[in-house]
Amino acid sequence: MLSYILRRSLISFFVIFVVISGSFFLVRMMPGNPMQVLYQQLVQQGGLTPQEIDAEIKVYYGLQPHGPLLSQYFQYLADVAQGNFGRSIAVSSATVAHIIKQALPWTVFLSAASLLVTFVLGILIGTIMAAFRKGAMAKVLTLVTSFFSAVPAYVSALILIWQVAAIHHFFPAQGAYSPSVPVGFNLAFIGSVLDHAVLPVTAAVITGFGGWALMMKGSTTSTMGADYIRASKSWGLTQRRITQTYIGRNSMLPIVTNLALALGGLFGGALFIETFFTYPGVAYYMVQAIDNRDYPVMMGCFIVVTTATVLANFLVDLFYPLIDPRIARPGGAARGAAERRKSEAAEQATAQPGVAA
Amino acid sequence: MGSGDAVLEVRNLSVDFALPTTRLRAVDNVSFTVYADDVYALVGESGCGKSTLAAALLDLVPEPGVIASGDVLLRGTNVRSMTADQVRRARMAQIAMVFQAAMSSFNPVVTIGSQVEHVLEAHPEVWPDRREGLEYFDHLLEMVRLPGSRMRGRFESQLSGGMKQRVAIAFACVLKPSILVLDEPTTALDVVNQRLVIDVLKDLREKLGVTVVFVTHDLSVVAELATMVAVMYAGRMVQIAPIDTIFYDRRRHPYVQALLSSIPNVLQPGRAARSIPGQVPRLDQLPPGCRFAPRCPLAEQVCLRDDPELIGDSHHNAVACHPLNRHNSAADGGQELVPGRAVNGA
Repeated sequence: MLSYILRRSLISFFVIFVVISGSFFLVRMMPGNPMQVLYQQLVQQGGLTPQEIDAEIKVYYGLQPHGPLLSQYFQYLADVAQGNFGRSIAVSSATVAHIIKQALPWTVFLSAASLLVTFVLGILIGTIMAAFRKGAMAKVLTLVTSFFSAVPAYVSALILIWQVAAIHHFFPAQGAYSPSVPVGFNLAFIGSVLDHAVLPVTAAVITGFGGWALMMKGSTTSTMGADYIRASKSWGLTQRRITQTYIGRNSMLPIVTNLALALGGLFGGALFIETFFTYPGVAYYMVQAIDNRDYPVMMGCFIVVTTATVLANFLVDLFYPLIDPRIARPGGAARGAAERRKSEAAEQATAQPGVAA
Repeated sequence: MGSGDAVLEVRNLSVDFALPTTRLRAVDNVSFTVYADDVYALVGESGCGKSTLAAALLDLVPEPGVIASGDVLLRGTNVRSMTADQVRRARMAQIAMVFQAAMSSFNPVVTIGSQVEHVLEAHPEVWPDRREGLEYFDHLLEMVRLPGSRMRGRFESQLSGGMKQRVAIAFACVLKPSILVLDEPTTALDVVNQRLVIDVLKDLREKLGVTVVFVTHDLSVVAELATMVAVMYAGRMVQIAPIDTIFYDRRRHPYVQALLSSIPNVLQPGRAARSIPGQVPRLDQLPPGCRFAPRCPLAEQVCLRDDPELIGDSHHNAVACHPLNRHNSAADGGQELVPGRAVNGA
């Protein structure tokens, strides 16, 4: 078990390392760089000659990018290994760690709230569709859920901003809280946070619940057709027991896997949602950083997203055997199979000597 | 053969599969009686309705199948007039089923022991003390030649195919049912495990007094195990007779005759096994008269026109065949039928 965790941890670190390396070079290969972004901005402001702009940029940054890319890469790896993610290029005086520390709670809050509502709603509708899969209601629900799961997040977000925020002013469409309330643990602030979360969460739920519902329906329907469900009926078990322990537990297996992986996505944030609602989460800063070619912030965000996903996968692998015994316990896999073969052989030898011989 | 009480009586049972456009009759007007000390074999090709018939005994026909008409009597009580809860209680406590898919008939995420407990919990009247029920299960496991208590903590995935089949049999007996119905109990097993299952079933019958009804297409298993044989063809019962009549008496239904001829004979290596010409008719394209007539060497005009009835005492020999029944009624001799005015040629 311990060696399994160790092995998996090493693999996880390796994956993170590969992603860091890959994105480091990919990011540098993108057309443009932070200097050019600033140059463009200054050109657009007008009133300056190119020479003046060049001089301005040099003054502004006080440095010229120096050293070949490879040595920058090794320097970056060494910094990251020491927990130093660098400073933002675009936002002066902000460290990447500081930006992420500020953005992460918002992302986790918004994604967790979205996931919770999406999941509960999806599972509920999916179960209803599976339970009454012959009726007209299930047909209508399937149609509706398929439609919504096909709606992209930017469409649902735009429609909500346009209809609910811009025209009717029911809920705010920007930011995580109102600038007029004092930040802290007080009713006004919490109310403002919830108020601001309504539209982003709704937008995420509209696009997300259909997928969970269809998955749940598919999983439950296929479980209900399994041989052991028919067998459990022939045993005269009560419907309640069959539904809970035989259909329920088995149809939840793929759902649990997906939920665990979705938890890994909590830290990455929803790209479109955070961007459209100018919600100050990780994804929002990531998009901004990409626009500004803010290499250190981009890299920081990538590392957070990657680490969260890798960690979620790791936890799924670790805990999945607890809910599905068919997946061998880490480290116990080989032993289990050997035990089975051994007991089978012993049985054949002792219990039926006439047959085995 | 066939003494003791009638434990199971099926009367004019028909099972339909309601498809969007048509209704197909998978089991058509079938009647038979199983007595306490019978080992009853339901024999037929794939798709003849034998598994559907077995499932219909406890109202377990998979959708879209429905019991269209007929009665199933368990020791005289009609299952068809029971309430849903009474049927639930009768399941496994009176008739226990081991499905064809015994390999996958356990919940994969719950231990075998927990599933036994679920059964005990659903039928508290059989084992008021659950511990005793579990001990009885261990005892049954030993009877099917598996190490008792060690099996209970296992998951289905930790058992081999042969073990699963035997665990399923022991499992089915835990409520001391009077009838044990097995659908293809030896299919998908290697010969060693087939032998084992047959021995185990003989044992259980002797020691527990359970009446065994099994469905199979394998005539060698029938020869090993059965005392009574009911042969089905395209949803109909074509012959019901004691095992000796089927294997040694020559007054068998031409389909049964053809089935027997299709088995290679080890004692006469020179004689090739013969396949039956033609195919089992599709349920939506049944011929008007006898369903076997288009493939039958004895078929006459009347066979193509009229549906034969199952005539005769099943303890002696009941056959649904025009030429055979005419012959039997003329003289109760043991002669083999010679094709006379057969329309298909011999």
